Amino acid sequence: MEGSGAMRAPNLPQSRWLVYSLPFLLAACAAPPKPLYQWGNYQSSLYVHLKGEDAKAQENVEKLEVQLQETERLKNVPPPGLHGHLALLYSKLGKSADSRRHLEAERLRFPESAAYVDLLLRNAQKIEATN
Amino acid sequence: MKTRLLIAVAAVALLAGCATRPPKDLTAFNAAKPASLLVLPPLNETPDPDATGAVLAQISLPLAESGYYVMPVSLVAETLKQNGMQTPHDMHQIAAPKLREVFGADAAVYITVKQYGSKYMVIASDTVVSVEARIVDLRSGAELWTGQASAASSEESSSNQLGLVGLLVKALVEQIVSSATDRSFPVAGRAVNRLLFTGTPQGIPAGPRKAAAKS
Repeated sequence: MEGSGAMRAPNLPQSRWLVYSLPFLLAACAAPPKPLYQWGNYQSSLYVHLKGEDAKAQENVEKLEVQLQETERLKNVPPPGLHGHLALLYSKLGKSADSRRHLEAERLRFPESAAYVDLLLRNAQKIEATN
Repeated sequence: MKTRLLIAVAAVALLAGCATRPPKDLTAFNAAKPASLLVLPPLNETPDPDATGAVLAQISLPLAESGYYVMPVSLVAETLKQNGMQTPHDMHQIAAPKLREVFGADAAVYITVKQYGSKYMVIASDTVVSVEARIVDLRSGAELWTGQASAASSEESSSNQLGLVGLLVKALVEQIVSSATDRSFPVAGRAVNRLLFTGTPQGIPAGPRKAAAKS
């Protein structure tokens, strides 16, 4: 330990340029871009669902609905597939009106989903008609 | 002396974060310009049954944040199951035109999980996740992109390993999974982000929704 202060002082001039250049080195890598979507619990909810824990569907639905309200309040955008995932959870819970509402929301937000969503809505109608 | 060494090491680490590997040939990808991606449930070559779900649950983020529409992964898996496809292996066999007809996506993403879970080594155990991906144009059947990436829990101690993508994701995602059995989940997230995020040297080109957000 002795003399450590004395050792550091002579090195300062050489190390200073490194300290000064550090912000530039960091700037070279640029700041993280602003995310396009608000992900929140979507991924963990998918994981729980994909593990087959259907008992947690109701809890998952509630969490994601709260998240969607927050996303709307902040004028952010929900990630692609979140409305679709909610539609699936609601259909598992037997709530077909809510399921349809979220399918339509997915299609409205992301027109790329139109062909698939239309197919699902047609199939749902057929099932309801036969019941 | 010590300070100088530390700064020098930090500088090297910072620069390493920007290091480049030879770029991929993206001619086919750029010509095809896919806008919507269909991710099929991953093939699982590991003994852990959770590997498929953990990777599928986290694959939308790097693809969507790179500017692509990602078909709802859980809903897609359900549709395939209800149509008699019980395993990812069955699902990966479906012909491209059929997938295009049902889902309307421009391209499909085929993933294989090569490694998932703890590796016990002499000094310390490590959780490792390795994934491979192939993106195929559903309109032409042409292969547009292939890649592979790994992540390990031992990287967690050094924050510079997270990189910009890691820092972004850390800010985005609420980590609720913490039990010992789910220790591989965040590692799988890092592996897929490393694999597919645009802007990384081997990543996919930026998609149309990214360009739309910028302008």
